[in-house]
Amino acid sequence: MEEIRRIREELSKKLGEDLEVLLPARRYETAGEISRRCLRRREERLTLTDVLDHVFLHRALGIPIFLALMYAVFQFAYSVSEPFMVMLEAAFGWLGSLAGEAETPLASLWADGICGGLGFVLVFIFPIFFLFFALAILEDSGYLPRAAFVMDRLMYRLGLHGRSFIPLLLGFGCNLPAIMATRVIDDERDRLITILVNPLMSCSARLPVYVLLAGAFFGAYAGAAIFSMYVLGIALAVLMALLFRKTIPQLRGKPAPFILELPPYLRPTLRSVLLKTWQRGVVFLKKAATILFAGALALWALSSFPWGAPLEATYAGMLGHALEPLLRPLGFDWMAAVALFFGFLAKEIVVETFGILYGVAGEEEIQAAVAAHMTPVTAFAFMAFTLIYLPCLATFGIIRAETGSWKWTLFAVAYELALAYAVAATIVAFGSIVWG
Amino acid sequence: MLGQPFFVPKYPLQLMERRLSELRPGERGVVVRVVGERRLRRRILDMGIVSGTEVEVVRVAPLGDPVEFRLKGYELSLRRDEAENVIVRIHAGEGFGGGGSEGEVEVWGEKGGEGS
Amino acid sequence: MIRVALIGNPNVGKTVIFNHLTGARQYVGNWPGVTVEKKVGRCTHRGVEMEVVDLPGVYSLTARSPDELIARDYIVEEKPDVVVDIVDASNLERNLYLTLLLLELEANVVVALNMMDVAASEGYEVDAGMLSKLLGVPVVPCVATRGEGIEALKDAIVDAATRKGRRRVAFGFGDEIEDAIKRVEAVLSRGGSEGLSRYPLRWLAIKLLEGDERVEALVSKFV
Repeated sequence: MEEIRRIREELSKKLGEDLEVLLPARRYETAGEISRRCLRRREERLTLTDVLDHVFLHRALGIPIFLALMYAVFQFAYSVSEPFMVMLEAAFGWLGSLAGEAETPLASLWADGICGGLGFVLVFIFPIFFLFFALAILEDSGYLPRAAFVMDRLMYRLGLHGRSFIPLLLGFGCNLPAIMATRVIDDERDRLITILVNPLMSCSARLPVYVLLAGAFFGAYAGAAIFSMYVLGIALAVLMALLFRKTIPQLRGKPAPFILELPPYLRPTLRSVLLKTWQRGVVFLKKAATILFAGALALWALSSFPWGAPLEATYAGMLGHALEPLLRPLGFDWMAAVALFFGFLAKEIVVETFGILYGVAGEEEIQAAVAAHMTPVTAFAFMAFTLIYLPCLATFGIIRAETGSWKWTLFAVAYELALAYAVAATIVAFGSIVWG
Repeated sequence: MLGQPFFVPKYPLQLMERRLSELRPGERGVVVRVVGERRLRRRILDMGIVSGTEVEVVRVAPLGDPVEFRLKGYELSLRRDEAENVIVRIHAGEGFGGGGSEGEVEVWGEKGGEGS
Repeated sequence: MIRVALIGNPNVGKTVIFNHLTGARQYVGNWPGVTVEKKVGRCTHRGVEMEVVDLPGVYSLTARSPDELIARDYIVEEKPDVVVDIVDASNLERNLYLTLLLLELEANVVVALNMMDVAASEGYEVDAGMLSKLLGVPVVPCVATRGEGIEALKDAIVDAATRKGRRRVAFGFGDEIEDAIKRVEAVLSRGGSEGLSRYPLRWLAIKLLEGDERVEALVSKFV
C-alpha cells in the first residue's frame, strides 16, 4: 500500500497537479473529444428554455412569478377539489342514513363510525391528489430547479438549502408528502432540519380548526387571524431551523453545496404526470388514510362508550378530564383537551371532536357551542397550539420512516409540545395583560 | 458567506486570472484551476468544471446569489462562495467592468459597486 | 433471468425508460440502511426474463454522496449482467463522463441515447453510430417520452447480456498516467491479494491513484 502511495506522489509531482483533479480533467478531455466527433451543430437556435428562463429567472420578475405559481398551485388544488369533496360527503351521509333512526351501538357504528369516518378521511384525497398533480406538472416541466435557484439565498441565510424550499412549501398542503419530498435534499443535516421544522408549515388539515375558531370569534378579521397562523408557522420554522443549526451538534455546519443543474424545460406528458400523482397519492392512501380511518373509529368508540353515558362519563370525557389540569393555564377545558388528543390522530378530527363533545353537528352549531366555552384569546391560543403541538400520527410515522430513527422522531414531538405550550402560554399571558 | 472579505488572498492570481465568482453576466473565462475543500472541489470537477473548460456567466438570481453559468452546452448554477474556488483566465477587455455585460449597473452581491 | 441496472445523470428520462421497460410490474422499496428509494421491476423480452433495477441519478461515481455510493456499490458488488447508461443527447459531453466511469468499472454497458428530440430542437445532430464506434458499446437512440427506441433498447439489452466474452474497453489517460496504472496493477497482482480478484484490476489502480478512500480502505486489507 505504501508503494502505491509512492507511485501516486511521484506521478503527481511529475505532472505538477493533484491526481484527484487531473484524472477527471483527462476524462472530460476524452468525453469532449468523443462528443465533438459525434455532434454537429446545424444552427444556433434560441431555445424555448432560453426564452422562458429570461422570464422566470428575471431579476425583478423571478420571485413574484414564483410566488404567483405557488399560489396558483394551491388555488387549483383546493378549488377544483371542492365540488368533489361536497359530493363525497353527501354520498357518505346518505350511506350512513341507511342505518335508520335506531339508537343502537351497531347503527351508530355504521352511521357515525364507519361512514362518518370513511367519508371524513376520503374527502381529503381530492385536494391531495390535485396538489400532487399540479406539483408533478411543475416537476416534469423542469421548473423546480429554477424555484430552488431563485429562493436559495434566502434559504441559505436561514441555514437551509434552496432545495428545502419545495418540501417546506408542500407542507402547506400536507406534511406527509412534504416530508417524503425531502428526499431530494442530498445532505443529511439539511434534510433532517427540513424534516424537523416541516410540521410547523401549517398543513391543510389544520385549516378546518382555524376556520372554525376564527369564524366563531373574529368575525370580519377571521381571514387575518387564519393568515397569521401561517405566518406564525413560517416564523417559528425559521427560528427553529437557525436554532437547531447553532445548538445541536449533529446539525452544525453550513448547508450543503448548491451546484444545481438547470435542465431544459420540457413539455410534461400526461402519462408521466398521472403516474407520479398516482404513486404519491397511493402512499397517502395507504399510510395516512388507514391510520386516519382507524383514528376516526377510535374516536367514535371512545366517545360512544360506555354506551348511553353522558359525554363526561365516556372514555373520551375521562381522558379530557385527566389532561385538563395540564392545559388549564392555557384556558383550555377538558373538551378542548380531548379535541387536542384526537388531533394527534389527525388534525382534521379536531373539528369533528368538538361536534361530538358538544353534541351538535354542522359548522355553525359547533361554532356557537365553542364560543360559549372559550374566549377570543383562548381561541387564538388554541389555534396556535394546534399549529405547533405535534405532527399527526401519519406524519409521525413518516418522520420515523424517513429519518430511520426514533431519537429524532421523539425529539420532534418533544420540541413541538414544548414550543406549543410556550407560545400558547405567551398568547394567553399577553392577552390577559392587554384585555384583562 | 456574509460579512466575509470578498477577496480571500489564499491563492494568488496571475494577471488575467479571476475567480469565477467575480465575473459578470455575459463574461467568459477559461478554467485554469480549481481549488478549495476536497469534497466541494470534487463535485465541481465532476460537473465538468475542469482545467480548459470555457465557462460563461448567464445571469444572477434575483436575490444576488446563486449564479447561473453555461459550460459544455448546459446550464449549471453555483453559489458565489462555491464559484470562488474556480480560477479562470479571462480575455483582455473583460472583467474590468463593462466588457460584455448588459450595460445595467449591477450591485454585485453585498460588496456593492462595480469593477473588479 | 438477467439483471439489468439503469443508470444515468439526473433529468435524463431514466424514470420514463424504467416505466416503459417494466410497465406495471414494478415495486418501490428502500436501499438497505438508507432512505433512498429503490425501484425494481420486471420485463420479459424475446423469452428472456429481466429484473430491472433503477439506480439513483448520479453525475459521477466518486461515492461521496449516498446516491453515488449506492450506484457504485451495486455495480461493483452485485455485478449486473447489463448496465444501461441513459445519456442525454442534448448534453452529450457531461453525460459521457459517467459513461467513461462505467467503462472503467468494466460494466457491460448499453447506452440509451435519449432525448434525441431535445437535441434536435436545440439544433444538434447526433451520430449514434459514430458514438457506438468510439465508445465500443451499443448505442440505441431513443425518444422515451414518445416511446421511440424502447424495443430496440430491449433488443440491445438481451443481445448484450447473451454476448459471450465481454469486450474490455479502455480509454487512455496519457502515457505517464498509464504507466503508473500499470505499476499499481503490478503491485496489486502480487500474491496474497486473491480477495481483490473480484474487482476489475485497472479500476482499482485508477481509483487508488485518484485517492479514493473506500478503495484504499478495501485494498489496505489485502496489500
